[in-house]
Amino acid sequence: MKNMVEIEIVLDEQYADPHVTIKTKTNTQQVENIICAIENVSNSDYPQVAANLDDKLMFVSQRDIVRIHTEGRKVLLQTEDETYTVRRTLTGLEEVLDCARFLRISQSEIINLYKVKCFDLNMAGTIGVEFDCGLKSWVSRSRVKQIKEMLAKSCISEV
Amino acid sequence: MELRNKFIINSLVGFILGMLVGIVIWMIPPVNSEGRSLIVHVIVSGIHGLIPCGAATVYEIESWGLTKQTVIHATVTLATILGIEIPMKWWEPEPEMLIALVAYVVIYAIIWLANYLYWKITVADMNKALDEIHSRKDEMNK
Repeated sequence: MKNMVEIEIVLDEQYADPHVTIKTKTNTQQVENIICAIENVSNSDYPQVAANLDDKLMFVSQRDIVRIHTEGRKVLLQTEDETYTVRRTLTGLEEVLDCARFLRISQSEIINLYKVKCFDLNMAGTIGVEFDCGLKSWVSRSRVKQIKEMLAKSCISEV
Repeated sequence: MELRNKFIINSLVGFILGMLVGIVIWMIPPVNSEGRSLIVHVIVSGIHGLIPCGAATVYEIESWGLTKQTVIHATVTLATILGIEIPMKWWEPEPEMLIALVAYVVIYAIIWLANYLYWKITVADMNKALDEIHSRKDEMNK
């Protein structure tokens, strides 16, 4: 028996990015292949970022990136679990990162807006940003306007 | 623009404005009747303008908070006032100076507070937008 895949497309304005739900009786190899195919298409639009971890080259999915920042002469890429080094400048990374998701918040940092838990302002007058994973950083006041614009047009569709 | 270039431009603008103000003040009789050199007066006025305007560059330093920037700028400006205006005898230090000093601090405090409240409201708006995004994400995950 040939396993046919039924595809249903639902047009919904609240989804800025495609949201894929796979309904299946059991998780088979066919389902895994479908997931791979979808991820490959997604990654071709927003490529994974090459990064180094303990001298090993890894490819990090953009949706896993929490922040990218400079530390001395290094560019560090942080996910919720690991910190990688990247051999590109922040400006170079901005060209490949999804501009609807990533935002430069200072001279030395780019963040994934979808990983942000909240912003705050302390008595020192510094705007802080806290991520879902507990990491904290600060936002340059000169970048706030861009953050507000991105927040205004953002609609998260990822799971 | 690099911070150094901004500092140079700010300082230059301050120097020119300071000189212009110095020239205007020179035209006020009590000032120019005290046997001072116009050139010295104008140059010192220029320096008087250069220092606070150059110091305003601190507000461009991204990693510094608003409070630090305000305190440093206030301190530099006050030091300029005391370090230039008194030796130049633009005014005599009197007990009433204390009132002026308090007023100076209060003005800077008001400027800081106005800035702080503005950013507090801005951050609240950002969090509100973020909450809307998060709640939409939670709805889609149900």
